[in-house]
Amino acid sequence: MAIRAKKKQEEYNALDAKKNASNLSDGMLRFNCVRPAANVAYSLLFIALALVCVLPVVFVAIISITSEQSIGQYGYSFFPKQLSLSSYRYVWNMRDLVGRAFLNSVGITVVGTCIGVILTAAMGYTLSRKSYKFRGFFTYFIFIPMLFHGGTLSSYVVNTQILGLKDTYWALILPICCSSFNIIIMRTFFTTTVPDEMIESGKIDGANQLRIFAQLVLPICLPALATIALFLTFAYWNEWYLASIYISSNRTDLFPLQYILVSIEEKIQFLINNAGFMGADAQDMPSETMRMAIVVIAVVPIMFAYPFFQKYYISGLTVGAVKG
Amino acid sequence: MNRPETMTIQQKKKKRGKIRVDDLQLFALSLPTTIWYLLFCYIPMFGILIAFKKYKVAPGKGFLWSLIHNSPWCGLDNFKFLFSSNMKTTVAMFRNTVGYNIVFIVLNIVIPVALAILISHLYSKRLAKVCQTAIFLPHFLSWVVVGYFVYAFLATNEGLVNNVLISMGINPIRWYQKEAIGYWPFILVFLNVWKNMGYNMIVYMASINGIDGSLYEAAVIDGASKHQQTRYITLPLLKPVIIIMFIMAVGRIFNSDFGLFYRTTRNSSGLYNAFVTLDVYVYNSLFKSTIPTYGYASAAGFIQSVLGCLTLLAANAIVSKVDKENAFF
Amino acid sequence: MKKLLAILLAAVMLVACMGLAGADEPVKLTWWLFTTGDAPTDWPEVEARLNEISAEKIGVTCEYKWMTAQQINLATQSGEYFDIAFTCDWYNDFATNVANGMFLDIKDLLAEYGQDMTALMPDNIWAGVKVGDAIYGVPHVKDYGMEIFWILDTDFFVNELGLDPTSYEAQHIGFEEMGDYMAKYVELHPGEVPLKVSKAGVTSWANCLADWVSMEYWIGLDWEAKGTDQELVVKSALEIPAFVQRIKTLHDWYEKGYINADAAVTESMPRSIAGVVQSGQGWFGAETIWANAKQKACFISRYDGPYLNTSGLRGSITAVSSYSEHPVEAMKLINLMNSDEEYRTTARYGIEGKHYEVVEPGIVRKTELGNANMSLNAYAQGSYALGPVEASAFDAVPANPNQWTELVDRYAAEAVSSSALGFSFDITPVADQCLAMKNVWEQYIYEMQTGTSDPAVVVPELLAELEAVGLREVLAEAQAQLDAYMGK
Repeated sequence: MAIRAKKKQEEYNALDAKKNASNLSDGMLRFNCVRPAANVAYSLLFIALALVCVLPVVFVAIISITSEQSIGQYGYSFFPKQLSLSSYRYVWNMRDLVGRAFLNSVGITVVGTCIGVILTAAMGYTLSRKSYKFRGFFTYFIFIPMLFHGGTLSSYVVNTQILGLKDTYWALILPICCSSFNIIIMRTFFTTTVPDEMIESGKIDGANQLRIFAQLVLPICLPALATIALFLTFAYWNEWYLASIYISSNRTDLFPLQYILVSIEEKIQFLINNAGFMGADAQDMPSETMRMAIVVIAVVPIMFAYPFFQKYYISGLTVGAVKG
Repeated sequence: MNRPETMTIQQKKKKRGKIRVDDLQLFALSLPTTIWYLLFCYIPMFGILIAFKKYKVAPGKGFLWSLIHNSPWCGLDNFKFLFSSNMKTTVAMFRNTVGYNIVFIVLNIVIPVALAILISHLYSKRLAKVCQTAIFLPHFLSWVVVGYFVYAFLATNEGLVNNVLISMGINPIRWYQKEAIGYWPFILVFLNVWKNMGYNMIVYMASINGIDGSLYEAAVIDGASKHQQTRYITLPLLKPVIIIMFIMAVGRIFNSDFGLFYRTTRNSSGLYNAFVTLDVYVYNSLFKSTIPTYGYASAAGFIQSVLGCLTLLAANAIVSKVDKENAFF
Repeated sequence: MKKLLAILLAAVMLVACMGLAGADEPVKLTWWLFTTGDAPTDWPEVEARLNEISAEKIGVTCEYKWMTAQQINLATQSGEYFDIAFTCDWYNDFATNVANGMFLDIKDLLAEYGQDMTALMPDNIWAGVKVGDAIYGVPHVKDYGMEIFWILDTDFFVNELGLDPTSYEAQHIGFEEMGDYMAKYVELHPGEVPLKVSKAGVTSWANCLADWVSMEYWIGLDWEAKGTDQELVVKSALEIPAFVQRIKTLHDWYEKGYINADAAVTESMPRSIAGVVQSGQGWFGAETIWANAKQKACFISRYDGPYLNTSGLRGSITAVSSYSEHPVEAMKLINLMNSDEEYRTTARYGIEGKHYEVVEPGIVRKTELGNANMSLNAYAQGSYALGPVEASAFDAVPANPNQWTELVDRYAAEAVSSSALGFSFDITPVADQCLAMKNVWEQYIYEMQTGTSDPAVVVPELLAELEAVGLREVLAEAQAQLDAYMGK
């Protein structure tokens, strides 16, 4: 401990020396980094973590090109004995369905994310205003649904019989565009990053709350908006449950990509549970390699969407790197 | 607020209940979201009644009519099935649900916060980006797929782990049978952290990114080390987010991630005591049932909500004792 | 504004007029069908063709809605409208729906509008859908008796062992007997597993082990007690000797390495990779379907059955909604589906020339497009016996166009009938105990039916757990209900 403190003291002294040097900010930048040894250690840690996380995706990709016979004989393996592209050929045969589903997923994700971000940010902002008279009421208002819900059946009844959402894209968008979780995160972001003085100065300039929100608050909260947008994007991209209950099986033109994957998985579960009763004519199990091929198709595109959001976290990420 | 003498005139006015233009404007701003909540959360809430009724559909009458006129009240009958199992299972299921959640809550705050801070220290921003993307990947794999992956490692004959064990001269383990039950809590915790790490990091990374750079600038000028900056600037500014994430997680302490417990263990009987949670129990009792199970499912959900609500309020009360500013309410 | 109103009014009038003019239009019905995921891709085209036929013949058109188990559950529970629905023992549960009054008693309609189809149906098929005097659905002529088969690889059993697949012995290899063949297989093919199964176990292994009152809670009547005073005593599976004997055999096989080691945690085992010995519920004639699924020549050998019991007879039923606005038309359409060869074949195979080709009279072959875009569970639509059978993909496994008449004759001659035909157990009074029992079974059944666990250890343990959660109460309740049913 003592040695470290001493070392730090030396560093401070060094800094003082540098302060006196001509280029102040350069020196600060150089100083305001972890030590090289620590950097190497951290880098190794993250590389290891990244490998642990990439491995399964690689694994899935490998299964998708393993031959079905090889799986039957030797089980799953990172080094398959026989390769085969038959699963992709099969998916290619389904290209009308899969292609359409892909477009559906993209559309639903984009529209849903936009709507969701607006609704979430608006509510989150109002809840972050301490002077707002209904703040307490609305906090409870969004808190209660976080824990209590009416259940599948009543939601189904309301959404199909009152709102008429059955077999529409809206059934896949509206029910999940808001969540109390996101609103509360947003509220916290606003509370911590939007200074009260800014709102007051906006008011003094004669702006109403809507304008303050749109023109002053949102621009400085881009990382927060990007966070919520990212959560929503992934939620929409991974969503299949809504499709399984609100899109009837006839409307394959409305299926999102994940539902195709999950419906194959559900088919398998159904066949397992009822294998004994369904007799000879039961459709056979879809092959595992094919499922993995669809997983690959579902995961890869969203990986490319990620960097778009990522710039909002990483850009200024070297903490405290003094800009300018 | 707790010191009334410092109240401004405005606040006093507010106390008296006058609605200002400001309030109306803010209300207008939140109106669309409010409507959304009414339509998608509050109207369907009448469905909670089903937990206290023996729901029986009346042909051709629709849900509401059936619920009100055709379904007799049954008090707490729908709740009984949760406790009708033997003591051992009931205890195991509550112990697992709460126990795993406590571990998850702690780890899913500590690890992502630590990683979010560390990743911000990396020299190479490109490396940071690549690693961060990679860490996020498991989030996209469903538990079913993760289940296959785990199986590739742990399968008795063809599994990677057993092959390694054999080549090292150690007896292979039958991972999905009772003899391996001791390992599974660790496997489950690892999988949960692994899958959610990238997702949880994002909130904290965004918060760090939102911190005013001039604070660090000032710190550097004052000669603060990296460690000190983290301790005195980053962590205190992350505190509100951490607290909110914590409180929200506590509210779901009686819910469990069904996929994690059911799919990765493959519902294997030998491991039952290590993975049975409330949701697993409910699923195992109700799935493919020939009787309508909405009442039971609803009852189970209701119990989880009430218990979760109570723990959340308790957590909130503790937090507001310590730090009123950052509490939930 | 006025203009707009005028246009709107005009539009409304137009619609009204069309409605009036449409009085002679065909009646449109809604039919809920079973699917595990999606409708066949080319179904809209096929449906249009079907509607042409039905509009011309009976003045009815129909919208077929394909529903997953969850969707049909939500739809019935929330009171959505339908005219006709598929129902059975394992999907859109027949007994529950009848108890809720969802289905219409079609006794009179059947006599008036269903004669074409009843003429084609065997008499013993109706027991499952009758409740007292009422008839709540039309059973489909298919393999409604329970027969369980080995599906055996021609390569090994015929070419290597020299079995004659047409001989009576080869077609009736008993369950235990299969152990000897597998011993030979393991000897000839060291390191390979003959009986690869998923956690569901040897497919359909237990269907005929008892006259099940419920396979969800594993209670039933002992077939072997038929004719004795124990005939109508409801027992737990663990108290039925045939059941216990079979899990002992399975464990023996597991120990000997005939079954894959991780079977109890294997989610799926497609027929194409499942080994030389497979099993399934079917009928003599189903081998062509299985050969297709296996993508290999095979022959079949019966080890259980045939039995006629409630669950078999309720394997596939079409029912009319009790709140249908057009019950007469609904019955006419069901009658058409089950008696008109053109309609039935179109619903099953699609458009001739596009989805299938006629190979010879009574035998058709699906085209590649038909396999891809018209793949469905045809038994859920209606009679399986009506219309052509599918050609075999393998010369060694020829399709038999007479399989259905042979099947009906065989059932008449050989089938053992359940003593409690038509009985269904209403679990409501003991629901908590039943759910708890199911939970307990969930912990044991997969290891049991794959032979993983040792019955000598597990059976007493399981029985004790079941007793602790109320097995006896469930049995007593089922017994009381059965006695009441038999008494009337």
